[in-house]
Amino acid sequence: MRALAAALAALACALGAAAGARAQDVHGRPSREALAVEADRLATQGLRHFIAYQQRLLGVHERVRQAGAELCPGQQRPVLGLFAATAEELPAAYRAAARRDYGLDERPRVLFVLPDFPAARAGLRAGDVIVRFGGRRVPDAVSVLRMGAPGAERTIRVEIERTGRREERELEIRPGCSFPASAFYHDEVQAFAESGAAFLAITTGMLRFARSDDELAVVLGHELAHLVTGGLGTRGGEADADYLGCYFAARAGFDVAVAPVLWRRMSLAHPASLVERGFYSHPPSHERELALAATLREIQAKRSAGLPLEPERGT
Amino acid sequence: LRALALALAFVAAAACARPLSRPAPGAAEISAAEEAVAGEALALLLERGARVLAVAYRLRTEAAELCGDDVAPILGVLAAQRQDFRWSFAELAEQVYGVGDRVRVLHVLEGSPAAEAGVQVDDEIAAVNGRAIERTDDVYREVRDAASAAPRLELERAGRRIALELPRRSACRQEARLVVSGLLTTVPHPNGVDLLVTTGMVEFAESDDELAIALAHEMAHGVLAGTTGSYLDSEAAADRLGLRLVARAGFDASVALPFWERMTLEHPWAIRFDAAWPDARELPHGRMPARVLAMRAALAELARERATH
Repeated sequence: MRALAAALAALACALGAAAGARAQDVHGRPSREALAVEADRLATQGLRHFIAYQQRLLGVHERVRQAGAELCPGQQRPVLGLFAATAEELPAAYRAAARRDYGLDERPRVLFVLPDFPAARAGLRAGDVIVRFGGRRVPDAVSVLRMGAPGAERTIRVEIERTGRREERELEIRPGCSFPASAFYHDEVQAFAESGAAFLAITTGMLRFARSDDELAVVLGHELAHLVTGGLGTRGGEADADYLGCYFAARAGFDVAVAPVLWRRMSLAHPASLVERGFYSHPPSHERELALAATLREIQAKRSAGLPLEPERGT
Repeated sequence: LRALALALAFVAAAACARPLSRPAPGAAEISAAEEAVAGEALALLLERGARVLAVAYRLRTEAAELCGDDVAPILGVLAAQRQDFRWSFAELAEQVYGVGDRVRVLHVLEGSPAAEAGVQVDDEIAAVNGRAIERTDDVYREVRDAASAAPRLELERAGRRIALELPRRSACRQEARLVVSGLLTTVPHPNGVDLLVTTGMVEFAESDDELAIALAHEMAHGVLAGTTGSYLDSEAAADRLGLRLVARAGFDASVALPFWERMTLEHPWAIRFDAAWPDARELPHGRMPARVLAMRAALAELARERATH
């Protein structure tokens, strides 16, 4: 064992020597400069990936909550179709790269807009700083998303700063369900919709797990349905969310036929969902699959008959 | 417009006040579907267990020389008892595979000592090297502890006792054991010797080469335990030794950089490289900048060695 350690130490020295004199300190460890270069490269790569995650999520979610506006009476906010952030709102490891590559600072700056949504139609684009929204100053990107429950107006005035100059834009108001979605880093396949929370939180594990936008739409519809019905943590609440969630996704034009397979894959990857447990509120997946299959038949029948996609309600 | 909005809101609110009237499947239908899904999930779990066994076996046997004194005989079986399964798997494993309180062989790796000696799926392991077996852990421990002896197994097969002596094949000591979790990681087993790999990690590894890289990194930690100083040093050292294990076992070590970079996309906190970061907690598999440099150097060294031989 000791001989092995000595051999490894010798190997480490040899490798260090091979890596070039400037890349390491006197102990043969990589120098701070060499580490900083690698950290920058990884952060640049990671930040691009983070933005791609948010772009995919927002691209699906804005469609779902816009098409589901009528299912969210009294719980509506305009759908803007933009993603903005301050440096502080990003994961710590990405802040330096975000300042350097995207010019982020303490003011909310647009990172991307979705084509054909109000922000893009009003001419907003990546790099714009959002100064005022509906006449009020906005300290961070979260407050941009929280503002502007739709009233009587058809448009909302937005003041932006672009290359040092202030400009005004009129954004069309398109009502949608209140709750924006945000991706956060966690390996487990999870989505959270806490009552009273302003956001749907979707884990990066879930974004990887949902193989298509159709699958993602089914997940987002389910979570939106939770927030709308307020039925959290009960079996009936979960089944309601599945049912209503399919309507949300179908109204936005997504193919909800993927729903049963999605939940089956979920139960295979995460067997905890196979049993009922106190801490686990989702219904057993097999039951879910059968109920979903029936829901899909119901939606298909309405489509074929040219009827609006309204969920059935008791009397 | 406001009036219209209010009217619409009123209509919709009235609609929402009424409970949803959704389809509900019957009980018999549910229970049939339950069995099918659970059976499929169990089969998938065993398939993953067999994949981990095969990759770890190749690493442990082919690269045994690099593990120094940390070697022991190896069996080449996937074995389990009821207690090893969680959730409804325990019941199902009993129904489908007959897994009860005894440790049962679920898979035998082709070409392994167990296969050569004639160990079969469904054999129950009653004793190893003369010691009675109660837990799955006992099997691995007994084989490991009698490091110089050829493993002797006493098996129950269809109601009969069979004694088999396995060819002694030297291998790195650590068993790689699968644990059901979505986390992308490998961690040391609580028994202080073996390692745990998550189902999340097994799925994330797109090839056996990638899985070998993840397993070898953790194996190297075990081999190096107590020989290096700081965590930063030990992570990079585990990468250097890990890549040697991978290359020695004939896996493709060159996928290591893309693999760990892909992992880093999912774990931004792993980019930290010094104590100045706000969160000084040590997470497993962190310190990626130092690790990337170490891996790049190790791969170059391996390539040079290959060129001179």
